[in-house]
Amino acid sequence: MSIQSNLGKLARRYTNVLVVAPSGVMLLLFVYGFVFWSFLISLTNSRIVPVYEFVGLQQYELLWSNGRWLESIFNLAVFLFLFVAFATFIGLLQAILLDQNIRSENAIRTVFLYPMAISFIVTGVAWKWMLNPGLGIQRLVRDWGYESFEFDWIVDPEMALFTLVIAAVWQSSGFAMALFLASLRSIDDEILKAAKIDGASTFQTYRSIVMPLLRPALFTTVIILVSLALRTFDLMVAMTGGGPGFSSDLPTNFFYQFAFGRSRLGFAAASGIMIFVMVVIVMAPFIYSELRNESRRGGR
Amino acid sequence: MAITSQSRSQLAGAAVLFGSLCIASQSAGAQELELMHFWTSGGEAAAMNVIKEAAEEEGIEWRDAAVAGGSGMNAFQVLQSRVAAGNPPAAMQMHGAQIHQYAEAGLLIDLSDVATSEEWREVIDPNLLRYAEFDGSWVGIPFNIHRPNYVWANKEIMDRYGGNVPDNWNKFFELGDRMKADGIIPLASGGQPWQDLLLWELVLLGDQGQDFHRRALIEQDVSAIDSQEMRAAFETFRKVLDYTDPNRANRDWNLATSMVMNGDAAMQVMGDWALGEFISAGLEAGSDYICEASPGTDGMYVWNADFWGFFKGLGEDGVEGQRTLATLTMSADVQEQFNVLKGSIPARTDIEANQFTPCGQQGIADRAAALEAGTMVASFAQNSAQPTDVRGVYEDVVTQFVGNPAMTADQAVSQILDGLRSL
Repeated sequence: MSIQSNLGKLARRYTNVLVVAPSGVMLLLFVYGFVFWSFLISLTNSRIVPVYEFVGLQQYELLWSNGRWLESIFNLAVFLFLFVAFATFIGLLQAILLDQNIRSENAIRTVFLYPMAISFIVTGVAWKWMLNPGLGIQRLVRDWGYESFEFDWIVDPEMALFTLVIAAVWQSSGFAMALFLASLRSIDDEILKAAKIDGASTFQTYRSIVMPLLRPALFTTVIILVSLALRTFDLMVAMTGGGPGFSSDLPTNFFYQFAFGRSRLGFAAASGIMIFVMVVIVMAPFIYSELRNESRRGGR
Repeated sequence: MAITSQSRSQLAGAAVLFGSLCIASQSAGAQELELMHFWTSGGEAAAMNVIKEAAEEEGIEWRDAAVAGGSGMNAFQVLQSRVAAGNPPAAMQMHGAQIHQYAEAGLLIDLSDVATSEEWREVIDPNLLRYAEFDGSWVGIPFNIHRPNYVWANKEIMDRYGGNVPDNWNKFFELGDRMKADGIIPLASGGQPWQDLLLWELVLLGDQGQDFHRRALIEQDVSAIDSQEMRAAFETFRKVLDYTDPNRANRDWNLATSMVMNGDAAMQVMGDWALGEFISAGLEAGSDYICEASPGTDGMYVWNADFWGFFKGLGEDGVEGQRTLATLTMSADVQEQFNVLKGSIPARTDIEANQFTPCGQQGIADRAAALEAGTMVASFAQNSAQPTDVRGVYEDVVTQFVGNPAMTADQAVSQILDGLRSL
């Protein structure tokens, strides 16, 4: 009797640990293990296959003196900021408008959410054709008779990056909307009624009551959108291929080309590690401040 | 049935490639080979099928591991991760420079004895020996020879302007000016890095000649790279770009080819793989389209070739299968049928030309003449002159040069030199 009941007790006590353990081990191995492996390779001069002869930080020095890398980092910064800002703002606006008890809300919600179900490659190809001046929107409007109409951003080195923002926002703002809408629906009606009785205007209600309550949703949305933006690869490859020139090139493409097209695995690994470091730098302060707020608010 | 360690590792490989593979059941006695390539478009797949059928007649069980896209880069990504995991396929289709890189890493099997007994040395285009062999061993089995220096022209448009494809870049500019005045795009092109690099190389070759091409690109002679000739080549290239349309950014090469077919553009500078597009559109050489050497490269045969690289690590049966497949690929029948469909010409020099299209027949005759005259030129852009990392330096600079109209030839040259120093 005793052994079995002891085992049972143990099992009960550690159920939570046991349940989490497999995914924890896999996470350690397949995420952090491989990050570490990439870091090791980035310290070598590996070409096609990993070779463990260490050359110190030489690859990082080369990386930060490479013009194409610097351009792709700058592009990423611009893309990241514009994409997250617009997708969040448009998603929030859609959610608030949908929350006004309008008719056929379900249908509209599906329409806005649907782009999320399409792969980035499809989005990229579709927008590539639509934005191509000789085939898409510009041609259409000109054929209607507006001969001087111009919309050639995708072939303009100054503007190509913004076409990526347009396509990415189109695809992801519906997702932001869904997150905000779920959060709006969970706000207690009693609070809103109380505000109304107290004589608050709609604007005041949203500003002082609804927005603060949406804070956790905002946090989630921004985190997910930032990670989406940092991983953007397929959309760019399908839509602009990084061009014209390198005007819409992103670090993920840089990594891919040097690792698999140029046989410079060590150099590519260094760029991969830098992408990882950027993720940490962008996300860490945000997560830190949110977690601190949560504990200050007296979370568990 | 006991699972041998080999079939277990093949299963693991199949799991990696689950999307692109179907696992055939292993029949008794068959030598099963897993073959990686990136020939997935209509004409390419039909050509590969010639080898597949010949192999199956010899009792080889062909497990197709095609990975499409990215001009082969996607396939190399899969290959590289499988090599790193110690589980390479039986063979992979690659360019000359890559054959050498994998041979240098000690990953390819040596087929010297097959080469000797089949007397390949007697029949192969001698230029290919440079990549077929590495350090005294025979490592690459060529399928074909491609010729990148073609100009494809719309016959009807050219007839309106005298019927002749310009044979140097100055004549091209004159003709192009007249076409532009009439609202015709003189040159169809696609603004993708590899296409830009290819066009740049052919402008350099046509503008500055074979000797300069050899010194600057094949020998990487710094005094040739940092020279007035190189700057002049960049300036001519800049001028050529003026004769393309502004919507070229990220256009695929076959869409540029169809601009020539539809009469939206007059000419395209592209390799002989464009021939397949004309054939599948049902057009006739001579009456619908013209194929000529690109401006300034008349008499020169720029070449690149595709090879099988056979990987180490298979059991005895597997190696036997690899040797059979190598012999088949080099056999006269397969070389002829494969290349008729692929648009290229045989790697063997002893094949009759009469099965080929007029452009293919011209290509075979031109190669014979170029071999005689010493005007075969290894293609730098198509990975037949330098390793991929050196080529990459140029590709990045040319891409930047195209994307930034304010960039000067001086800046381009100094960026190339910087890039080469950082390798």
